[in-house]
Amino acid sequence: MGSRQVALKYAAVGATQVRSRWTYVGERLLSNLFLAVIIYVFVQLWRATYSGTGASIDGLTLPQMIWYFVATEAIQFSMPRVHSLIETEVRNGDLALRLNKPYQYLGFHVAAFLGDGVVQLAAALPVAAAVALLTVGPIAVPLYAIPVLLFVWVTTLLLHFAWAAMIGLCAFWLEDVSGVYLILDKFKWVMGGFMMPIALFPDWLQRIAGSLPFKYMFGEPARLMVQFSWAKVGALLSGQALWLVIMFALLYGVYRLGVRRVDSNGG
Amino acid sequence: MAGSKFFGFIGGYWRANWAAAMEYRASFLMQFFGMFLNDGIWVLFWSLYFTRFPMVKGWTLQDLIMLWSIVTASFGLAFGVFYNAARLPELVVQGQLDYYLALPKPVLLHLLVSQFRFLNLGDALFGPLLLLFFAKLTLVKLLLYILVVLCGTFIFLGFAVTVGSLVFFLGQAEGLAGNLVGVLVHFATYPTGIFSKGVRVLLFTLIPAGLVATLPVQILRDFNWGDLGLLVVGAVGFASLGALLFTLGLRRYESGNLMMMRQ
Amino acid sequence: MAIIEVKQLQKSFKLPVRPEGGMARLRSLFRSQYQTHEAVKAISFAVQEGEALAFIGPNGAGKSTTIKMLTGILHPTAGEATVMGLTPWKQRQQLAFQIGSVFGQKSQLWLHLPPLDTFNLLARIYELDWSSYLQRRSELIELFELDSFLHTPARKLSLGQRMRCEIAASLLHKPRIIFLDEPTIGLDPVAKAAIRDLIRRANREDGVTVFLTSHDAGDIESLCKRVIIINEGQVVMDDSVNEMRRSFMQKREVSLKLGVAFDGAFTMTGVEVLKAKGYGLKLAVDTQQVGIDVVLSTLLQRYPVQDVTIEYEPLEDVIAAIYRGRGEGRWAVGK
Repeated sequence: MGSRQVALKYAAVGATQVRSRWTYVGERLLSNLFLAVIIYVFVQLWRATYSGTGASIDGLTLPQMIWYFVATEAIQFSMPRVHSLIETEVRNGDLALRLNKPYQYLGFHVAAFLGDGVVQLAAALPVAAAVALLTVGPIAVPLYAIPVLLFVWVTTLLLHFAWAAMIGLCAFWLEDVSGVYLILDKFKWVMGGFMMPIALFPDWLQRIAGSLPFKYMFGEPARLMVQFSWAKVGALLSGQALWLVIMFALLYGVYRLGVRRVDSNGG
Repeated sequence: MAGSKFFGFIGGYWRANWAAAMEYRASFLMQFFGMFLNDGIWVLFWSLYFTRFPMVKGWTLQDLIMLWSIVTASFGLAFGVFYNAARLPELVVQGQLDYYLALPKPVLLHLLVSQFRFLNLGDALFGPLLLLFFAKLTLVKLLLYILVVLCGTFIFLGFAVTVGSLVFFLGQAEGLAGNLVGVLVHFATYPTGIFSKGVRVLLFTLIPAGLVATLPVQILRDFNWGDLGLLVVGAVGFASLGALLFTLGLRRYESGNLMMMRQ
Repeated sequence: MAIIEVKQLQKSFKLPVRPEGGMARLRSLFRSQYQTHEAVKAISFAVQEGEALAFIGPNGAGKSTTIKMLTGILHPTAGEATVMGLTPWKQRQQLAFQIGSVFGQKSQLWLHLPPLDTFNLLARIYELDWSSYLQRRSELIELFELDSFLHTPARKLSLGQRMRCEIAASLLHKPRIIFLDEPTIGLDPVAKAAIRDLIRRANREDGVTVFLTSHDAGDIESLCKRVIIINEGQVVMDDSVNEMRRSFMQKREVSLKLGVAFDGAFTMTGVEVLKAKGYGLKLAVDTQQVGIDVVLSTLLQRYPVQDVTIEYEPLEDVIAAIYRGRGEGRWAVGK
């Protein structure tokens, strides 16, 4: 009974967040017009690139390449700004107040993050997909892949959560985390294959990117969408599981350190 | 002299902004270098791209580095030093223009010079440093660089004030201006050659990404007076358009009911 | 047994020192120097179940540090505390199920959702049995008269409505203690009275222990029987509200309506003229220096008097005087 209650608790947080954000899904769709421009520019860039090289770059056709970016952008655009939320809570003392309630601070934010993410995904994916459909047309994704891909979206977002929340928690030590976020976020972009598939990097950089968790946050999930296979699912999920364990352990450590710091330094 | 007395307030604002930066220097340095590295990573992306595809539609890595050093500098100057250009819709909707209207200085100028944004000052420094390290420079080129960057700054400002002034006429459209500036910047950071003819026309008119990016790169690569003339005309044009729309909009301005204390 | 028991509870913080001057400050980015600040200096008190206690003091006195220790958010530097038999900082989550809290300046309602949604979420957070939750909820809705705006997004509620929802929300899980921090801040007098009434009922009818901090003397007077005043990390007074009145309220405000215009020629030791305008006169009388009867008879001899009212000095002024005293005089503690 205990664990069912706990699961219900965090599910309720997530569901409440969905309801709270859903009211604004229309506005969000509108502001995602910018996303349409991004995809459009990508289409132009890669169309020009393909015109110089031939039908396939690293095993990807032009439509596959574009849908790869639809996937990475959908992941990025569905990610709530949890780093600044946590930064604010650290700074104005709301973090301490949340401890008055019987839930885990990070657990609460994971649930709220996913809830928010669902709404943002609903507002981002159709926009990006529409531009891709109108410019390069559809690609073949088997129907049975769709639930798997949605599940992978969740595990992928959890990795993003750990990364962003860690940056937000830096507010315990830093006056301002927006600078750190800018750098670390872009680092994640490059190493994750967000702007360009990792396979197109020079060898030395591919090796570095291959040993970091970021490829599981953009590149690998996106590749799974454009070239679905069960072998890829297995490799992706086991890689993500490993990094989820590592990153959440780190995140929890940083959180404990921060709370201890409040304890000795005051709010 | 009357002029120095009249414009003395600009220096006052800039000193105050600088003092604020020094007060929070840790945060200032973080933002400054954060943006610096952020830009660096984009350049890294392009160098990776061009390593794999050395030339795309006549563009090489050299051209793209030049483009980034120009666009970051002019964008950084426009929004680092004149941050309120980006905040114009917000100021109008919240009724904060009242503050500027009550003071004896030209409203638009006063508003523009009153607020720095440290994050974008990082861009403003990134551009010239990129140029210094990655381009072969002559004195003439350096002067040209300064000139095209200043033109670009005026175009960015003119564009931001123009789309920002739309809020005078459309009411609740705060997000629109920000999005349009974002679109301009996005288009400006890609080689214009990749776009189709129709889009390219758009990029030299409505969304002047070609004016702030491609044209200056061409001027620095193969100088010709015609291009430079076009750029200067564009800069004057957008600046005037912004000033005009703002002036017209100001007539329609009704003060918001939210009176906020200036911080 | 006491529901809250605090013994020699102490908390000190290490505060980073910000050196003056550019280089020194830049260096301090990397290596900070610290200075110890004793936020709470060995305080002791006990609260009985069902009590309504005002825990007050000026800003920075150590109130919120104490509350944070009592709710398990902070570890004390030394000393002991138990709340409902639990050690808060060791059993925070367990304790959290049994306490409620309302912070006047922070909302626990979801801004874009109706209060009902927040209630339902809280039921899950506190792991309530659903059917008894529904029953409790309808009780509170009726008692707090929330019916008419239960489905309105919280951002559209008035401050008074919102505060009613906040308090109802914190009572859903039937806590045995409720911590209230400035529950009436920013409210108009009518809304204040309503909120106080609701808190009083929770205390009197359900036996919820009330732990209140407020700068509003009206909150204290109308809700609490007992008051603990804390200043500079020490308890400077722990007594009943009535006793505080008796000990400190030695001033009376005397308002008079005279038959003639006041001539300004009235002086007396222990009497201060607060206001004089036309026929109206307002005096502050220190009853330790001069009896109220002496003052009145002197006045009656000199002026025709049409009306008199005598009032206690406002509680606010009394509390301010105690804060200013900083533990000197009768209620001095320690050194």
